[in-house]
Amino acid sequence: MTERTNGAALPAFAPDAALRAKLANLSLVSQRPHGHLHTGGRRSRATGSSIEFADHRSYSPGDDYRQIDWNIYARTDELFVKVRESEETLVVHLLLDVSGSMASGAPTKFEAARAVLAALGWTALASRDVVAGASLGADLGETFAPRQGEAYVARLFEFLERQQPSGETALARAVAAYNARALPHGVAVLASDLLAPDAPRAIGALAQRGHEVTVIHVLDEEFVNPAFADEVELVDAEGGDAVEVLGDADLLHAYRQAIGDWTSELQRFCHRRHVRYVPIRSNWTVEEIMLRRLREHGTLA
Amino acid sequence: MSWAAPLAFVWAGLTLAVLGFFLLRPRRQRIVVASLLVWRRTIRARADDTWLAWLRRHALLLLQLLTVAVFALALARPERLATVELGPPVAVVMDVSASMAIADSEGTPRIRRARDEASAFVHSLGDDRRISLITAGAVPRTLVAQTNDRDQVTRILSAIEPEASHGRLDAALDMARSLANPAAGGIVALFTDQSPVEAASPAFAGVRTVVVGEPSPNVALVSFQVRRRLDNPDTVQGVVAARNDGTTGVAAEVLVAAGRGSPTSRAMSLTAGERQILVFDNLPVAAGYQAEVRAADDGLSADNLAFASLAEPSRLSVVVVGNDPWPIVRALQAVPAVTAQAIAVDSFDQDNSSADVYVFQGFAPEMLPSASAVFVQPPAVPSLGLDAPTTADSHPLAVANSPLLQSVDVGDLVSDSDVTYAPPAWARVDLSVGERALLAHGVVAGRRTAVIGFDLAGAGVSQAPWFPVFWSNVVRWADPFAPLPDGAHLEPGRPVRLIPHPRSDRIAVTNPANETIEFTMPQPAVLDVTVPGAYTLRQFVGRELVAQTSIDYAPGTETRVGLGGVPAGTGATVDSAQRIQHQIELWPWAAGLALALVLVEWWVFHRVRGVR
Repeated sequence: MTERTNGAALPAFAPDAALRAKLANLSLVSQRPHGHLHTGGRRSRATGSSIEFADHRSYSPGDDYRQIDWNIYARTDELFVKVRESEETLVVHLLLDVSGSMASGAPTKFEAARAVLAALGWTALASRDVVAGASLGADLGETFAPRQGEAYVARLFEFLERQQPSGETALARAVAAYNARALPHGVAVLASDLLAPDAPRAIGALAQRGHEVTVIHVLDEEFVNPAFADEVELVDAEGGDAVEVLGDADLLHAYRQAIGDWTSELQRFCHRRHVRYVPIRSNWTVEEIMLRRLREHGTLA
Repeated sequence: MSWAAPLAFVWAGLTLAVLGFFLLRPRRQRIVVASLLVWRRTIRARADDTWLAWLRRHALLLLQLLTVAVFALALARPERLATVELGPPVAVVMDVSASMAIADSEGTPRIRRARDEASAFVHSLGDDRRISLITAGAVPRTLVAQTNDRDQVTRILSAIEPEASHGRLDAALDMARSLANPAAGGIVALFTDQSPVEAASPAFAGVRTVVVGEPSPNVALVSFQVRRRLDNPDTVQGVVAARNDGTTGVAAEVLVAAGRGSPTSRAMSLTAGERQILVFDNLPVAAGYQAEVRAADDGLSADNLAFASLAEPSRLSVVVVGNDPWPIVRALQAVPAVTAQAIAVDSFDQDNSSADVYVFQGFAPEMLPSASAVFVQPPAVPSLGLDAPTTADSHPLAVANSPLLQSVDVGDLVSDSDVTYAPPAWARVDLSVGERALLAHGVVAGRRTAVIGFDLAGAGVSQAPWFPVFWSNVVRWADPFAPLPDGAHLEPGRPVRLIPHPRSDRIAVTNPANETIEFTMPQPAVLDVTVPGAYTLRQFVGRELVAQTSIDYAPGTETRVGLGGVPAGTGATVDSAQRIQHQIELWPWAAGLALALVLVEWWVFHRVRGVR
């Protein structure tokens, strides 16, 4: 059944009503203030001018006179100023790897990544967070300008629907281009297979930009557990490079071991930079990824 | 290392075919993967053993190339010269005389006991012994020479059977000594039923003798002769000599039959080793006679038969052609059953002459007659290979057993006018002076031919006592009706080529079984005696019978029957090892390696496939 949001049909990768109902109570977790004290949907550790009282503190020269609590001054002859809570707006950056390598797997890694980002985008917009996005390939691809409110869900899905995997991967260059747009930092979610030598550099660049980064590492089962025998020629889906290997048991075992080492390295790298690393498989359901994996790793709460 | 068949390395060229198949193999499967990032890491991780990875990737190719190369190596038959230590040689001599067929009291033939004993002896020898196997029959034969293969020796031993003849143990032992001389550390083991007395003779010195058999009587006919009675030529007298060659006494019966008539029998009693002669008078005249001796418990029956025929020489017509033929004619006229005639050289007309023997004195016709020919001091005869005569310049030497010089003293023949000839290829020299022949004879172009170089016309020669004896010898040998060659020895398995009469165009041989075999000239006529009895040889010119001869064959069967009881191993033995150079063939190892490589290749191939 085709669902509609604001009169538009939802694409297949969009979260269905049941999932949306479950996601309604969740929001993306931000563990530190990002300094965007606009009216938002979440409390900030920073003090501000809202009506919510937070605390008193001694007056210091330069404080706003309007915040002096004269009642306390009347009783104690000391000047105290009222400290009020601030409500900040969280900017969620959804970054989708659209390189050619994302087209492999059944279902493809791209489909899985797009569905997860669609669900996260819906969750963020429903939480009155600002959502921005971009597709990353050989360079920075199409971008989704920061938008806030559920009214932009359809626009977000349209943006995601337009993306198709192709071409080579240059994650670091694409991320650098994205950072150069000087968007407010916030929570950045990168969905990628990280099959690029510069993937760690791209992750590091995001973290250095001040984002709270979550890396959703999408791999497919065929990639992790290849099954072939004899002498074969392996051709890179992106570059067209090829290598000859003899698919005997020893080599396949070594390959699986190399996969383990590679993911472990990525995980350690992310851990050192306080980046959440969430490995998923393309054949997992979006519900499992959203409600279980991302919650376990603290991306959603 | 050497190669018995180095050309077989050409087969190594098949490696090119293997390489060709490798290059032309179906292209490998292409698999598109998301990225080679991890694959390159995997391959880099194994970069330390790159050559090993290459080997693994091309394992099948390498195994195939190696298999072909090793097969080619095997086909080239590599050999290596090695020194091996062998034990002393051993010669096993098996007596295969007729008596070995005797079955003793328990019913086991002696030959079987001998085979069993010999087989046990062979298997008791060390593996390093080189064994030879010799049979002592009428003709000793070496069946196996210097082999380490006991199974081969045993296999051949089991097939040995007695022959219908006597055993030449002495010759067989000489042969054995040449292969395993006991004096040089070899071992000669004889398995026989020979009597202990004979086994202890010098001929058996150093021989381990294993005697099989039990005491047994053995009557045998030693000789059988018939002749016309002088007082009554219409009857025949037969003389039979019988002997007991066994070890116990026996009562025997001797039977003599004339032709197909009823036999006449006489009883006799023979103690061990005794010989008796019986005379049978008044036998009728017949083509052939047969004598047989019979006795109960006779150990060997193969020596109980003998045959004889009346020796009645045919009337020979001899023509002497020469300028002084009469002394020779007179000598020939003294020879029984010979008719001699003298013809002057000028009067000799070959076309109107049909003698059986021609004597040409100092002369040789252009065309030789179809008869035997005797040349006395002939000039050069190119058709016979005779060169011009030269005067003998030294004393001649006579060969032993010359049929022409029987009862003749050579010293009486010599005179200053003797001439010699270069001996032709067909001739056997009877008297030689240096390299030349003074007297020679032989068969040339189917014709008995003799060449006489000494002077028979000299003063007083014809009056010499040897003169008629010599001519008697000559015409007896030159008798064209006698088809058996001079000195022919009849023996089973040894065919004798007959010499037909020069005029004969067909010869028919009838054996004792009444089977007739015909030979048409110039097809070789061969007499092959197989069973005892009378063989009749008839010679024809067209349909005319020109000669008929009866040959009585009674095999010289062994009559001795030995005693048991001589312990084995009486001969002295010396065990001495010997180091010899030995070629070791290595190709079986190479072939085995190639087969192992095929198996490994098969395993590798299926191991890779098993990953699917």
